[in-house]
Amino acid sequence: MKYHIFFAIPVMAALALPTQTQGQAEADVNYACVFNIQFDRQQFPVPYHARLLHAGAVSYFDAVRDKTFALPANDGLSMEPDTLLQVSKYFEADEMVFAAVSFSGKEVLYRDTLHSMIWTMTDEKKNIDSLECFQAKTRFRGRNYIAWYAPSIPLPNGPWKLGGLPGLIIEAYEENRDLYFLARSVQFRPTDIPVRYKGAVSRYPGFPEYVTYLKTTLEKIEGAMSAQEDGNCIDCQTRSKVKLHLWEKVLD
Amino acid sequence: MGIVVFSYASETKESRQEFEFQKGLTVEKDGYSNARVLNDDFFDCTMSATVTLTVGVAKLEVSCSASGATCEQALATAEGCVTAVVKRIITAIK
Repeated sequence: MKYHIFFAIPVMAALALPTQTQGQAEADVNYACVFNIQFDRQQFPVPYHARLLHAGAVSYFDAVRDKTFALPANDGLSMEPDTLLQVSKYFEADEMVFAAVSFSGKEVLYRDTLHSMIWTMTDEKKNIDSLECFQAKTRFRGRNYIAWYAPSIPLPNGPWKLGGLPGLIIEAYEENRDLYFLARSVQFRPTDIPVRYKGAVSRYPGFPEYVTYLKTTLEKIEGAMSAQEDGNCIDCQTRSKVKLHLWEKVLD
Repeated sequence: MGIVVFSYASETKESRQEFEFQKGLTVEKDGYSNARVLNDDFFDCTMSATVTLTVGVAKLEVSCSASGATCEQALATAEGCVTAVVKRIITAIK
């Protein structure tokens, strides 16, 4: 049995949504995503096509850049994988696995706690297409997020690492809209989770290891900068500085 | 490397930077003016060059500023500096 919700359709009749729980439901959710790739500095919003596949107690999310959108010509060196914001969630283990790109350009998978953000429910509600959505807010790793979830779709899931609300997140954004998600369609149908994300979660290094990697790398970079200064500053008139901008502000 | 770009002033975020130029010289990029004359006297020119390394969703921003008798000289020095710093960083984090 398939249910399709396409938000491009302006008027939706009463939806015969399945009364499934996270343990049984299978859903394929497409999100429109906009990510300001120059966050914390300037504005350069880039559109992505994002997808959440939810299959029972496991889900997978990623975002693929809209290839028709031109990136800035002088954006420097880039080690950007085809997909961003990859997150697999394991509801029974209460953990998730996310993909990070190392500074040598390799994709590395790390574990993280499932939906560790603490949400505050507000009194705000609105309709997104035919879905009645309720607002919740959270501060997660240095940024404030606003989410609109639909209790009528009882999946405690959402785009990227966001989730844990009593309904699927239909719209979510960081307060400056540097990261924005809006569900475009929800289809209840069997979905295939990418094979690489099946299996034991425990084999991946944890979030503390990810933070340690970032700290160690930043120390190496600062060391390299110091060497540069030592070698040049007597007879030159240059000053150099480096700044690492992280979406999840785990080093602040 | 072909990747050295000017930093330029942004009105939208905190990363506003100002540059000093010889009198009368202005540089514009993407509609932003990043030059202003600080006074009428001749002074050394200070220029800045920035390279951004994108690593997934993270951005490593490396910048160098340099002074010179002319702005061209200062820019060349800043570009050389940022190139050298990037090479050092890449070597360090390999």
